[in-house]
Amino acid sequence: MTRMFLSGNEAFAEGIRLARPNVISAYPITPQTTVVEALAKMVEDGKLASEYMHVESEHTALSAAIGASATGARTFTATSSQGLLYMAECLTYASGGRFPIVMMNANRALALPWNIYGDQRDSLSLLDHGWIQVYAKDNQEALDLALMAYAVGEDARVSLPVMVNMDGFALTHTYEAVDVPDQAQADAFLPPYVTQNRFDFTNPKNIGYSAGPEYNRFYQVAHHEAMLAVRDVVAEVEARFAKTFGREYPGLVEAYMTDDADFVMVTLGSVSGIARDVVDDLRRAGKKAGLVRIRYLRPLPQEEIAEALKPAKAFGVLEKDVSFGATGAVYAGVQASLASSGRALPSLGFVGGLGGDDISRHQVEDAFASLEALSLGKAPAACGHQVGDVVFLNVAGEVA
Amino acid sequence: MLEFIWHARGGQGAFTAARCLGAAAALSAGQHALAFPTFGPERRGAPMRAFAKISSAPIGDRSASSSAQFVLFLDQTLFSDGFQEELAEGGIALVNAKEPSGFADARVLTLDADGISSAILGRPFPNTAFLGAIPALTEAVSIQDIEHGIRATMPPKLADKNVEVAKAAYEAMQANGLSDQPSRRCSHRSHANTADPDGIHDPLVSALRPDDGWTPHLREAFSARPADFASSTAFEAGYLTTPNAGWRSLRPVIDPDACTLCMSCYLYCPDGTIVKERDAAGDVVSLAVDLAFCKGCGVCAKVCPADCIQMVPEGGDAA
Repeated sequence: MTRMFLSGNEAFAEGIRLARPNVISAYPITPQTTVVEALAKMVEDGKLASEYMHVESEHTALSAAIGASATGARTFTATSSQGLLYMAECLTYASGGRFPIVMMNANRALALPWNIYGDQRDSLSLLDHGWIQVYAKDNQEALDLALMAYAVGEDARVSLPVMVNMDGFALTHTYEAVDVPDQAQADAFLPPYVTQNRFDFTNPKNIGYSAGPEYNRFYQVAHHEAMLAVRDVVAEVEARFAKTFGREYPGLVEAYMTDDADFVMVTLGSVSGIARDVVDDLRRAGKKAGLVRIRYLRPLPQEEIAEALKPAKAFGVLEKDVSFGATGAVYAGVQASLASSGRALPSLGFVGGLGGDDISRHQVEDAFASLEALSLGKAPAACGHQVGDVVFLNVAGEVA
Repeated sequence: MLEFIWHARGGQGAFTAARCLGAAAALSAGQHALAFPTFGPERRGAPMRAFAKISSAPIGDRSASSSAQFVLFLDQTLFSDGFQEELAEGGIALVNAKEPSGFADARVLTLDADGISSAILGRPFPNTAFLGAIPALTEAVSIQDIEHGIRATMPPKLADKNVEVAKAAYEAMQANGLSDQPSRRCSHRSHANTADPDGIHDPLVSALRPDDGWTPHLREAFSARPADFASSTAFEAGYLTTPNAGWRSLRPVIDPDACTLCMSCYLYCPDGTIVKERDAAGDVVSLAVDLAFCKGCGVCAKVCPADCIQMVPEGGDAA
């Protein structure tokens, strides 16, 4: 193990190096670029024995990854924002084909207006494309997820592609200390990829075929079941990871101070750091605040979310996303999770950080104050531009 | 938590220094640290900021610092009266300045970072000199930590020289002491960064533009009421809406006597800032530079066959 001071992208590239992908196909886009640059350099320097394909577009990047995965190769690609949308057609080919490709997505705003900064509208607009989606909170978790994503996706019970999401800039370009495991440790944790789902000259198979109305629904059911199997596989993989590397992860969600919480914020990604700090402050002041950090958003951790919200009298969701004319995608998912347990609670969906707007501690404190008011049966003070139960942070007073 | 806001121009190495500081704290001093720059279009000479946060506890807040114990100005032209707003209580502003004087405020210290780095590197790279000054001002990191941080960040050859710079600055900062810096009001202001941040009231610019409201009113709306601006997806065409003058550390000065009106600069300027000046008959008599949009890249001076364009420092005598 080596302790290094790395950006999120550099840390993630180290994780991918340790996972020894056979094929990397990628097209650069800010803020993903430095992860594929770092990997290209590792290949060039002979530190990573991968076939590196510098393709001409994101559509081809994922298409090439699908082709490579279909030969039984461990494959990696990475993208962001418009690049992810340009791949959209291929996303369902990868997931429907059950190719356990790992893709890093640097969360970034969508055009128009054109914007290179971080928010989560890119990946959240593609929740329904059959990929496992996981969100890192810091650079260490990003590196560790690079290894765990392969272990989860390649498990025969799952056999699905994994999108590892990292907040653009807040993670991808922010430096912090990271423990980089040794190759021997990584090899012990992640053996080479072995699959039946591949081209094989001695035992020929048909891959990437069509399925008409007679059969199609069965594929979708199998895909759904595979996604639901992720929960148990994640638990097993994280237990093995902790044994190998000494770092523990809490499964699909991380619940913090929720056991007796009166009001709980649900969030995902790097903003969880501030939210946790604010929970600590509120607890010191004798207020029963809690936090749920969603790590895996697909599969949707319905049971875990409902369980964590059990003692709560109010909850909120803080996400860098809105589905125009509806609510944020995470808010909708959390409401559905709560409803599945037969409950309803007063709640607010906070939309912040759009187009890279910094989510400040002050904003998060105000959002928690609104939840506290809700939990006491009071009307919350305005802390943004409110439309129904959706609150746009940092917009107060500017929109009629 | 200790926070550092680094003000610099692209190319001065502020983000590299923030990374070295973070590495010093996290890898050598046993602290937690974050380091990150402001993000956006990157260009040599453009004003930028970088941040470093150091704490004994894990750092959850990844947002940009709005105030800090250390506000560092690697370029003196970026220093302006607004610095007080960024300074946390008991904080220190450190300015790259040749003379250890010129600032009325006791919270403002100076370091001849250009001089120290030039003497060792042969060129002014103020970033690692600032790194060396930090352990003279706080106990959070030692000069040994800083050396470790530089070596963890830079390739060996570069690191050796920069460690030398940091150590020289550390000694200079210690020798200066914290209290005997003379007090005098800051005499130097960059026009591009103080009262006229966009340079649009530059007399040269005004002369080039008819005073008939050419300043896009939508840009004013944008700064005053962004929500109004955002309700439309279009704005008036025909001019840039964001002047680039604040990016400039050098400005081109055309010698009209030597200029042959060959128009090379006019063709090569990447921002179309070379303006034809015409006489009453409409003939082009000379060329000028629209300083509201000139980024100071120097392409015009490079391509001029008559060698009649000089790049002069902003804020210097020629400006």
